[in-house]
Amino acid sequence: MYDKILFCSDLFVSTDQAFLNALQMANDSDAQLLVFHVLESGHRYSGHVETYDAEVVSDAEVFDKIAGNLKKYYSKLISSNFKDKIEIKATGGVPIPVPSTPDIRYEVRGGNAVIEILRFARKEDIDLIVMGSYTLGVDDESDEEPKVEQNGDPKVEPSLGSNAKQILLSAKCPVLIVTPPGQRLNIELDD
Amino acid sequence: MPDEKQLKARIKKVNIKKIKNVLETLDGARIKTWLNICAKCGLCAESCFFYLANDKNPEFSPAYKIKSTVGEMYKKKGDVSLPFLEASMEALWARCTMCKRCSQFCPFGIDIAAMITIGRSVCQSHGFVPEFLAKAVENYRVSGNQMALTKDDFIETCEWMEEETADEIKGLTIPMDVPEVKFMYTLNAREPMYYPQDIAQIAQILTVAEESWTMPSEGWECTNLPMFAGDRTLAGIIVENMYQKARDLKVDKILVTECGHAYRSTKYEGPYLSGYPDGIPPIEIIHSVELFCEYLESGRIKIDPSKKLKEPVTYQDPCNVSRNGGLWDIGRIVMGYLADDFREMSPNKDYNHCCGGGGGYIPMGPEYRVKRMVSGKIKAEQIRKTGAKLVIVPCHNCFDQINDLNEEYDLGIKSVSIKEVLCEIMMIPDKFKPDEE
Repeated sequence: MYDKILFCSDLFVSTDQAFLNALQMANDSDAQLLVFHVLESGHRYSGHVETYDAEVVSDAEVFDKIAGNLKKYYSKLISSNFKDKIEIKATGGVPIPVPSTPDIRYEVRGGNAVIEILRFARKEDIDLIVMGSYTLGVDDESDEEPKVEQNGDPKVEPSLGSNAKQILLSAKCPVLIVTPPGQRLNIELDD
Repeated sequence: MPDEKQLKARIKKVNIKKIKNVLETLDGARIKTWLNICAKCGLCAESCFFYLANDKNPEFSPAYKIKSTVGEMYKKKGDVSLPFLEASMEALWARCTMCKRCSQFCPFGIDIAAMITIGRSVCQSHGFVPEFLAKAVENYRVSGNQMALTKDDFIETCEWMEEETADEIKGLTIPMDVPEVKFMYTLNAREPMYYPQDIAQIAQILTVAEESWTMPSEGWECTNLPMFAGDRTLAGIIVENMYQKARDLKVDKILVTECGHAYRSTKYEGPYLSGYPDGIPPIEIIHSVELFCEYLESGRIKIDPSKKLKEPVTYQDPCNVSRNGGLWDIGRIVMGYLADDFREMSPNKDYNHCCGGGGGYIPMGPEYRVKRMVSGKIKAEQIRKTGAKLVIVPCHNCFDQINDLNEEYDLGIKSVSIKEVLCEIMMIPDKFKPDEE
């Protein structure tokens, strides 16, 4: 069904479920899975990337290193979810069948996430884009304190973020938004 | 803080001969005259938004900024210290955007910005350039453009935008390297990198106007941050790349995107930087604002009356389009076609204040953001007083600065380029409307 599936990684564990679903679909379709991460640049005047600790990186060496780290992380995630080739549940999520040897490529770019994802999807002729979508308890529009779990970690809540929305509306191929596992039905009707 | 590479680029010992050479070759006699005739009258101070926004601190007055930097360099005949050069960076880059407003108020017409340029060149000759600006300049050196985009990246982006827009305007293409057309379009590298929709928008406008144009695969970069970093040699190479491509393609004119300093570089400073002693570009240079005005006046582009902007609109005069480019009235003619409720800032036109992000200021990066926001207070208040909800901005630097000011000062406005507005409200002739499926 698919030849190339693009999984957009944001480096947060909250999108692990989305990765596992993308992997499952790639496996079912015998497709290549491309894991893609964009280092967002807040400084749009040099093509360099401004990271949270104000380091500036842009060269291929740094991108390769991050791609290597992504590979390590997701390889570990695969092995922990598919050990002994027994069908088990992903962390709190849906059952996932055992994959065969996955064909995965890791790529990292710098720039604006939406633009780079769309540009990459076009260039690679991607058939399906898979993304996670959630918020870490932080509402940019609100002055309220970020919500946290009992252990102090940021509270992960499902939310269709601006990047996911724009990709959903702009991509030329189907887009799958995978919400994090362990959600509860929460019906709160507005007045 | 400068990184390791930049520290290495700094010369360990002052090279007096080198500084003298920069001072003498860059209009030495004229600068000496200006330094001598400055009467310290203080009229320049009140004209400077840095001075006004920083509690009228005399250290922010143009005369002081020059006296304490370039003035000292001349007085000591280049025999200054490395700490002096490092300290001069603050006045030369963080307290002046080279907007030239002060020259309009100087009774002697002293060109402060020209002297700031020389001060920057002296600092640059010893490796003293704000870190982020230096990194952007390095991109130009290796790739010919601000974002270090490859030729393939650029061409692919144009093809992508052609595909994206073909559904909206029938027959739209982004013609690449077509010779002997009227216009060669040149753009800001931010467009293919961060705002590819800008490329789609200009293609829509030029298609609807049935213009004869081409996108060049090389020499398309019209910005010139080396010019603001004091690197005159590289600045000249960047401009010449564009002129040469235009000559190769045998086009009539170079069309510059909605960018202020690109116009200043391409039309006014570029010829000198790239070795044309008469100061006249080898190819005629047209700014997008001029072409849009011509289209609207001639009827080649018509505005849908029902879509004409109804909310209050104001216009940001980019220093290098209006005051230094002479296009302030052209901008007003365009506004007349786009907006029902146009409101002028005060002051305006050639006396408008700089946004606070020009002269290489925004590219200096996050390290200077706080200062940039403090100095931008004057522009923020100008905008607030108009009551406008939409600020039309034909310049990338102004666009970013006004967006930052909007956030910082809670202005409740949106900034847009002229081409974005045109694409929203122009009439699409039937022959360009997509076929109904």
